[in-house]
Amino acid sequence: MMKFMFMIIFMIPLCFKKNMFWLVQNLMMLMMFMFMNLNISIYYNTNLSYMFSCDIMSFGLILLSIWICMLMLMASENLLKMGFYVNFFLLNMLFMLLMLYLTFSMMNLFMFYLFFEGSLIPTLLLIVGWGYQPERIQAGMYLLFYTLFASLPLLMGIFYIFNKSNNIMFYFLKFMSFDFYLLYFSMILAFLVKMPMYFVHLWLPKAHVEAPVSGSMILAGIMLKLGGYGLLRILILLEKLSLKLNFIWIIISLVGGFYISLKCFCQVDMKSLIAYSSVCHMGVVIGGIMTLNYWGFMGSYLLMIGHGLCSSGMFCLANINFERLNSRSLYINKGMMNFMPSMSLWWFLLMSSNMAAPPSLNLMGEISLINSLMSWSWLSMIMLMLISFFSAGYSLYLYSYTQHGKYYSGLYSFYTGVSREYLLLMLHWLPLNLMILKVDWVMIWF
Amino acid sequence: MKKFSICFISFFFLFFMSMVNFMMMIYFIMNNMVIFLEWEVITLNSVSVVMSILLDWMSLLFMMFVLLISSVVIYYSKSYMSSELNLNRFIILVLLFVFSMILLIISPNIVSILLGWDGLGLVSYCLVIYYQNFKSYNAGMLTALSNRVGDVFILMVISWMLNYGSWNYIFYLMFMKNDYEMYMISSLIIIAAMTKSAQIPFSSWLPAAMAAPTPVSALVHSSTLVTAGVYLLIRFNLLLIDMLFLKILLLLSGLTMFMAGISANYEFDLKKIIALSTLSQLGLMMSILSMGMPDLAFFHLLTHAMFKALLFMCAGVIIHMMNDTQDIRLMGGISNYIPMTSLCMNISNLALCGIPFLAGFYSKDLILEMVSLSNLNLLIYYIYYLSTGLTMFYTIRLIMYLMVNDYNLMSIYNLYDEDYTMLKSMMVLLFMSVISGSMLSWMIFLNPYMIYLPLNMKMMVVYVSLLGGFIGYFVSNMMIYSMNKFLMTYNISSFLCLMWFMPSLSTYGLNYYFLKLGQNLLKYIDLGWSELYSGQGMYYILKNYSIFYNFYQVNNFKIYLFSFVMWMMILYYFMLMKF
Amino acid sequence: MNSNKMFFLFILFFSTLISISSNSWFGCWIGLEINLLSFIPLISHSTNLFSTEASLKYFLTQSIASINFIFSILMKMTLMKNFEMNNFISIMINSSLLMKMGSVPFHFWFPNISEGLSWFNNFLLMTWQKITPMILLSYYLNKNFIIIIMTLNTIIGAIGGLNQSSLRKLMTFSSINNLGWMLASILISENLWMFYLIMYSFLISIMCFFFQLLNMFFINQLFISNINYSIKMFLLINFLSLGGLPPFIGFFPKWILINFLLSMDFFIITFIFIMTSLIILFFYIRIIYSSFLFNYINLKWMKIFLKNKNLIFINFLSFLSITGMILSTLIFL
Repeated sequence: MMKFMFMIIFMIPLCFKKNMFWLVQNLMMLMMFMFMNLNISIYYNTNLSYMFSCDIMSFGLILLSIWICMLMLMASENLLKMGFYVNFFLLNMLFMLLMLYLTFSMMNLFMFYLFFEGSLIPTLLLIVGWGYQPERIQAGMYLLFYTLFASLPLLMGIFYIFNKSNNIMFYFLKFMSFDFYLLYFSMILAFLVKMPMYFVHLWLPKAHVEAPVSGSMILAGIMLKLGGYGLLRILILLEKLSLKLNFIWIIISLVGGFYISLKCFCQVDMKSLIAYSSVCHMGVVIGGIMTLNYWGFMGSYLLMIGHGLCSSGMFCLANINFERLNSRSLYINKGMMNFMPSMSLWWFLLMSSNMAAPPSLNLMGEISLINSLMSWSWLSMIMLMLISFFSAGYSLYLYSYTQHGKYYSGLYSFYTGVSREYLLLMLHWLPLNLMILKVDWVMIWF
Repeated sequence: MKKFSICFISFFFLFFMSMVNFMMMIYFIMNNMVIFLEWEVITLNSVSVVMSILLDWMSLLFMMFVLLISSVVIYYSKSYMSSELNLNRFIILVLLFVFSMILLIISPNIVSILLGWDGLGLVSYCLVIYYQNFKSYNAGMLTALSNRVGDVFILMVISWMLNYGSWNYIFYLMFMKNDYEMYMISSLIIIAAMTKSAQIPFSSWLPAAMAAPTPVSALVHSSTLVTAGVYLLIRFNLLLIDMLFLKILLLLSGLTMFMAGISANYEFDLKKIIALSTLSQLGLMMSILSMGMPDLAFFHLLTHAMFKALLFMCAGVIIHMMNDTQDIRLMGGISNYIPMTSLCMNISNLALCGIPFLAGFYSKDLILEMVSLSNLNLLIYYIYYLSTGLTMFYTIRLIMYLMVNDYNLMSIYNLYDEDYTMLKSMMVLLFMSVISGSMLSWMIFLNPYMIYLPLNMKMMVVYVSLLGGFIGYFVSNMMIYSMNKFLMTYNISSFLCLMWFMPSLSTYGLNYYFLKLGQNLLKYIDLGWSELYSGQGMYYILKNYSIFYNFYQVNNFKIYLFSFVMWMMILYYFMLMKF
Repeated sequence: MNSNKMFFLFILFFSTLISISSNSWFGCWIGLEINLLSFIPLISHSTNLFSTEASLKYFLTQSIASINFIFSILMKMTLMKNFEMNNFISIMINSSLLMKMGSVPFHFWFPNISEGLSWFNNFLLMTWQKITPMILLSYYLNKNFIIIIMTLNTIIGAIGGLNQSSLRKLMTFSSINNLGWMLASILISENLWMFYLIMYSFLISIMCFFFQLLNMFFINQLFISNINYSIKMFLLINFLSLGGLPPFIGFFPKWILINFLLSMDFFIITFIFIMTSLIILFFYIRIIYSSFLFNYINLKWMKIFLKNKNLIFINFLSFLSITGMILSTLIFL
């Protein structure tokens, strides 16, 4: 496992030479395929090294992060053409990949925290450095401070656990149980803000909209899943209190998911709509995790991976439109089927995955989560019905508004999709819809 | 290359598959065979998600009909949509639709039904918004979202069925009938089927979906999509017998039948009339299902598919000829000029009414006889027979408008019938719509039904049909100056004509509240209180604290030094007090 | 750096050594006085009015503190014969030492004075001048008093710095904030405090060095984009490091300190510490946003030249700042 960390570290000197953009991207793809060859098992952590280990959950998420980082580079060709600090961008990307890789592969709760926080910095730099609008200042501040405000108490919680149990490895912590209310809240809130849950989700639309395409992709693809990963790791040691108190989070996230899917209909900005739909999906994921069911844990992991691919793809699509029309507003991006019918196919495929249509991973994840939430309480049926229905509503709204109808009459010139963009979208869609054939590899992680 | 266009290839393939299914079906019925193939996708905590294929006579028969109609429709659309630039896209969408329908038909497992069901909803959405204008856009949204309601209910059924450890419902439906969970499941399934088959209160999407191209209407809205709900209930019928909800379904589907019949009489759009007649027949199918006779519902489903598809195809030819208008007031006298098409139209219309020995007669008449034989109250009896009369009413009205009255479109015109592609496809369906009734009644009903009715009850069908026919004849002969008393009945006629206000209720009635709620939530919570309690609020509080602090920071030095000395004095004083 | 300054600097260092290695309270006081005596010439320039005023204020405050210190020591010697622990006298001693350091509530001179000092002198004021009072504080600590003071320190450091635009005052408030953390570390162990001081001095030295090089005293001076690109990046990283963001080295001392504080069950205090460090981070980021992350028009009439040897030094320091944590795990593995 350390070999991959060194591979990333030794790619850093490459960033300082000229014309290394595509080489770095191809090396990341190579790393992806090398990583797939590792031995993994459900029952124990494999590939132990100094502080690294690998079980199926971290394996899948590391794969997802390498994949998305690779696709981020493919999507940011605009930066290469314009020459906007390409070297620093590559450096940023590699730093981000390093931080994410280390986050998921650490066996140690504190080290996990260290790199969890560390991955915020390249994100902040991406948003403020390569974003387009003046609002990105506020977006960066919100991102940083929302996350830090909740995760510093997490640091306190980790040290409390360390002092009480004298070790901090995940594997040994599974046998402890803590009964301290403050500890429960401080540890869970960090991940809930990251996920994000309904009331603390304000950073997400801002950050997603103001970020460039690579920033949006990594935010939607992986950063939200850090919260899910953390929750899945630490709920085991907070079991006693979770059984008492988890209903709060389930209720907030389910009702919040309903409210957010209503808010999606009022959005004019494409990226803002996709960002709010991310919050809605993650609300269902939080609900599923908090029920502490087997179905809930499995389904939430599956939906995290599916959502990472799907939202990231949708952000790529929004950017493809943005590069041509220089606007993200729905009033300008309409009737695209007249120009790029092949791109409409990809819009439709990714949008249908977003609304959990078969045969995507999202569908399997949502079925599992609906199962777990209903087995927890049948009253959640009402909210789940509303969420599913409205998520179809806004996905269709986005699709039909951007693709069908007459195009904006102020357009001057246009070029259709290039193969790089089609490749990018296909690499998002292919795992999303074909992994359903062997879904136990991405679903069952313990 | 012209010979090998996608239309031809798919036509041959689908037709071939249809015939294969036919042979298999006969073989399976004769030998009472069922084939069940299963592939396990994932097993989680003793529950298996499997992908199964069930081939019994019912699914094979239905598949045969679906494949036949779709092959004919694709062949037809080669000529109908020949001026379409993106014909390949269209055909591929139709093929995707057929594939989803087949997935639905062959699934004994609720998860794989969901695959087909969701696929049907989405692909029909794509097909309805194929023409890109406002009407199609709105119709597509209405279709997709009404279907989505059904999807959501099926998702809930999936999670309720988790209770039983397997999603292959055909295995345990009969044994678990009295559980609370089964009660819940059956209610949800009934509502899901109601959305797909456009019963009240979900019926507004079917007439709106006529914004789709005519081949789509012929395939989707006559025989496949809308019958998916009925098919689902037929599969679940072991569960549903003797349930309370079934009585409610009976009432609602009867009312659908009635309402559609009345609304069709007020319509002047050709495709909408046919859509409303489809709706009426769907109501008939649902109501006979809810009376506990699923075989008859299936029978009527199949025969109805045949003649309704044919009717849509004829409507397509007529629309093409009328320079793409669909208003029947502008049409008339076409039987003089397009005899073949009007032949097909007449036969399908008569089959719809249940004229003896055509396809519709066998199914419809049997249904009415079984209804008369069973014990039900007067209201349901009235609804059935009045709807039958209304069917005749609007059929005769349509025939009068189209074929007998004067031609109203243009003064110089050319109506031609020699589009052999379209005619050939219509001939196939014509053949089927004549013989399929008798053929099916001999094949699928092993024991004939024993009907024993008094004479007047039996003749009631004839009475209402004749009555309906006469009224249809009179109504279609009305001139413009005899309509001057119509404003007196304005309220009643707008209620009856606008489908009992269901489209408005489904769209304006619901949209406004949810959108307003969303806007208020966005304005007051997301951009309001949440900001106050987190980002912006904290910033203002801290800024004000800092400004307040600065008031103390920027000060005279003397005061500072003096305050330190005072502090020391106080400490000294306390210390001395202690000593 | 002329020989005058070197002379007084030497005496400054020597005075600290006198103070911390004496075995009598008088020796400590002597060291403090020599400290004051040698620092004043370092600060005051006869040509600059600001620095003269600053040196005068500094003299006044520190001498009052020293007098109170010697008074409290004598009182302690007289009344308690150096053996018992009395609350009030220990508070008196602690107060005078706190005033020496520039800690709340006696810190009002600190921002005022630092406005008149050059960056090097500020650096000395913020790091070296804390050593003696801290060590003396650890000899006669009043735990409850110091707990209140350190909490107040962090809060005032955060809130006071929020509304500033002068870089020196900002650094001062951040120094007051870090003084709170250092007081907490003194409560636990002296080794810990030394570790914290070394880390903090390292970070502050980089900052002061940068600002000295660029000759910048106010935030709006940072908007110039003529600065070398790598300088800007290093400024960014060092500010983030100072704010305590992982994975930079500035997180290291805070991590260790929080660990030990929590092992002593100081929950609320730790919570206040980390929340105020967030506020401090906020205004650090506000500074670097303006300077680093936006593109401004290139000014042709103002250029900043950097010598090569300075560049090497900058690179090395920043490398250490970025990778310090990871390298330290290799050392302490």
